[in-house]
Amino acid sequence: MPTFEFDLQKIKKELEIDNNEKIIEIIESFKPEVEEISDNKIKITITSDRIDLFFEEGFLKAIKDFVFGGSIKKIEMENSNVKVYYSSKVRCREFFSCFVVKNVSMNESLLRKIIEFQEILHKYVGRNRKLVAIGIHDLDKIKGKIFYREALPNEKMIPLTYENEMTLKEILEITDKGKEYRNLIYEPYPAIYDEESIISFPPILNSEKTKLTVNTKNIFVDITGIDKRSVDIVTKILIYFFSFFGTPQKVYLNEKEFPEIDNEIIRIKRSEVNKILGLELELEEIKRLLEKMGYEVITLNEEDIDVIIPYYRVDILHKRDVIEDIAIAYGYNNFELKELRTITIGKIHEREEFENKIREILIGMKFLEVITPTLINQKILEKAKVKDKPTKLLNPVSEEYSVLRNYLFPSLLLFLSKNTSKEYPQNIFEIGYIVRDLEEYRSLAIALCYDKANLSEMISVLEELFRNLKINFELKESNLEFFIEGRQAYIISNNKIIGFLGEIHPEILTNFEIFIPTIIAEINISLLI
Amino acid sequence: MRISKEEFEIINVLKENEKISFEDLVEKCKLNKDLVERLLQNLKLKNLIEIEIEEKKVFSLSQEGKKYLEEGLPERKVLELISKGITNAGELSTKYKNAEIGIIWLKNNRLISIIRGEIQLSESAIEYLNKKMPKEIFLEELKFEKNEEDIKEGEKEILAEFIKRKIVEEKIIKKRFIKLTEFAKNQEFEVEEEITVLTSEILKKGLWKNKKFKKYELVSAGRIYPGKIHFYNRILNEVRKFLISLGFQEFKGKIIECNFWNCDALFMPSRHVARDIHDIYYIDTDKEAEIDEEIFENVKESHLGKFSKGWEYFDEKLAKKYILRSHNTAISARVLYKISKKEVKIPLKMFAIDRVFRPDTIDAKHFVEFDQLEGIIVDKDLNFSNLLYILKELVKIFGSEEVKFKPAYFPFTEPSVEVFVKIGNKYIEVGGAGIFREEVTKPFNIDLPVLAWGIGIGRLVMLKTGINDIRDIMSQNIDILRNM
Repeated sequence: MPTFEFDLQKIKKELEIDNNEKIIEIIESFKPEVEEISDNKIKITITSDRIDLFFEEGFLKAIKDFVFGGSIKKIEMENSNVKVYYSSKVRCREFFSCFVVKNVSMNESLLRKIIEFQEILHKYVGRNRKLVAIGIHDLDKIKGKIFYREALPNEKMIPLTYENEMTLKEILEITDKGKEYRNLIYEPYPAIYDEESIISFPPILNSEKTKLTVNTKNIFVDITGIDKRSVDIVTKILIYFFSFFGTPQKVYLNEKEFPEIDNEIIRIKRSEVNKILGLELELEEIKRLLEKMGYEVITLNEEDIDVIIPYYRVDILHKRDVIEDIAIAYGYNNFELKELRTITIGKIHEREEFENKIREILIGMKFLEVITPTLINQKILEKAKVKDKPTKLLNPVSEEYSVLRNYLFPSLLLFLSKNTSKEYPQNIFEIGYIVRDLEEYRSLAIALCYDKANLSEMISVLEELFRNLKINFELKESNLEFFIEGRQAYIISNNKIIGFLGEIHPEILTNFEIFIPTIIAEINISLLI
Repeated sequence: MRISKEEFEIINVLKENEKISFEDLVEKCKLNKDLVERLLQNLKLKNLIEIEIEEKKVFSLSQEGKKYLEEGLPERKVLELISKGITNAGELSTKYKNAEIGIIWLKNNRLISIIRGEIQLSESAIEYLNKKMPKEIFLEELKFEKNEEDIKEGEKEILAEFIKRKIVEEKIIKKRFIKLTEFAKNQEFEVEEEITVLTSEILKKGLWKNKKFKKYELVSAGRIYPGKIHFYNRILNEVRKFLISLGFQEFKGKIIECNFWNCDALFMPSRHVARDIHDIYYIDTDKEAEIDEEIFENVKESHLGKFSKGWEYFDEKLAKKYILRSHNTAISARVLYKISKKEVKIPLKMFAIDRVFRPDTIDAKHFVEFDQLEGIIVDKDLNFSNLLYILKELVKIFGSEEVKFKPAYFPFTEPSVEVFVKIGNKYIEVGGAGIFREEVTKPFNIDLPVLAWGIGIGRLVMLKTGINDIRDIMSQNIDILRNM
């Protein structure tokens, strides 16, 4: 979620409130979160659904509406007569949109604001230009008609901030933006042309020729991307943004007027609002609450309400979204809490019940429970001479936690190796996840670790454990590499191998720098439930 | 002087040895260690023995020392690089991050000199190119603990250096020695028929009658390490009990999950930012998860706009990818499926406490795996006021009834709410909740409002234990577990 710094004095003036506490209360009751407040600045985190609040003017309008009640910022787009064509689909950035803004009173601070907002949209909606990228041009520097089509790598453009022409391929290799974003596109590249040359190479760079300056009066905005919805919402939000600084206008896109921006209508029922929220709101009250949230409302009768959704409320997908806004305007902390009368019987999961039973028995035998991560370094498994290959992660953050353990006992050895300076005996156990062939199991590992620890003692422990669990088991000689030969066995129950026990081989103890005899038992308890 | 039989045995050993360590005494008198401990206290009170405590210094490698033992000292690395022809101090630092340390100590040991950034080797340094330095030999010897008296004269300087560099840690071990007092030496002892250890035989035969019982000193027999449930599981079990008392039933899901249940079934768009490799662990496999075809189609249609405007896009291949569960709402999604298949009955109040995984950078607040508590409530006529009510009940587990609600955004609930409780004089966020969107419930043919909530377990554990670093929950220090 992005964080913004807005002018506190402006907010105070607009809301006619001077008290910081009150300002914070208003902003937070309405969804954004205040992070920091100083004399002149207020830092606010805005949830990712409300893109229409991602710039100061949009934010101010919304809280002003919230305090005083408001209306939709109207938009009636005339046609600019600018002609734009995209004939064939552009393979690597299929979706395209554009519009024009006339009569912009440009200055340094607006220029900065435009570029900042463009970057915010690139980052939070465009997912770093992958889904959507925006190009903003000085319309008066564009010659004639505009075309969006595929370009060959050797076609040329003067990229923004450069003096000389470069081929598109060179732009990807030489410029910083080229290097940063070249993995988003492939040949043939997307390009926007006027009748003279390429004016934009999305999502990389615009041309130097059409760049914005403080003298820019009229603007052309292009939006390209791979996600239809994202291109659509960015178009709407940019039209909303520019409507605060100029007059957005349509173009002829393939000879048709574009874009068509309408405020949609969602019909809701009074009874439905009250049923979901658990309130008993009158129609007039619902209308008032909706106006606080910047909607306009047409009441049809005692029951049905048509809510006009501002085109810039791109987060509204469903009438439930409108109902949430009614709840927000009502104030979450003003709700009367209604007792939940659903009667059900509580129950612990049988797996937890079983594991708790095991814990109880082992604790009675003076074992200390430990918890270690399921994710482990493959080297630890190798140190323990575990032969089967573990399940790996594609995107680990560190080698320490890069595979899912397929046995639990190496985690116990790792634990013991970190406590060699502590007092013995260190008799421990863990119940945790292991993963083999994309299947997860719950495993129990027990370790006896002290001078003169031996196998017979572990057999006693297992006998006592299984006696209490009322499970029959037998031992059968095994030949596992991590145990001393002749001092190990499989644990068998119902003709199935459910685990193993043995004295850890001195070579492995040395690998872990544990210079104390260690006996291990491990049981796959998923096979027992 | 009349003393007990066991005391007599100890005196006898002491008569044969001018001064003896506690451990040797135990071995020689053939008595149980705890008993000897008590007897010595008695003998001391009678002024028959003296106990001297001698301190002994023991040296061992620190974590850093162990690292050097494995990887070699920085000096060695620097010498190796110099022998490869890199003689400029600046260049060395770019090739090896600890070069500076190596250079400083080589210089301190007068093995090198630096002239205008260029390093020149002394004669002995040239010799050490192919031979271990004394400090390297000493480092290897320190692999196991070394007593102070075993340090040779020539090693003392190296030891001082190692202590200064925090390669070596010193530990002081106390050893007890016992000897007879002058007073005892002049005494004649005879064994008094006093009962020290009450045995089964004494009881059966009534031998205790008319006998004196030896007085015990009120000292412990040494520390006991009890078996213990892990403090974290203890708290999780308390939470389970609390939820069961409110009528919630526990469910399990899978940690090896697929995107479909973790994200798509919860109406998270295929291109949602939280599905990035920075937020979800993907499993390295080409296998695709198998998902009920009907539900898969329903969810896909929901994304494409059947029940609302939708996201106008659905990535089937992504949905079938294997991942590690990143939140327990995935378990709730699987419960919705069970409801649709009539495997679970309504009304239902369910919860899940289990492990989730996130590829976060590890610090005091983030670890790659942790547990989450989530749940849903399904019944006729539930509403947002009911949700706020149950949230207030749920957060009572934090021991506070002062609650505040705040609007929030989650992709799968609408309306959504965050809940704060007052702890001390501050409101802290402890959970999130909401009513599942129709885009989430409709694909499962559920027409009832489903209340969904989640409570921060980490916060609770920190409050209950005083731990303020999430990594300590899975502490690998046995003493912390013994004392918690």
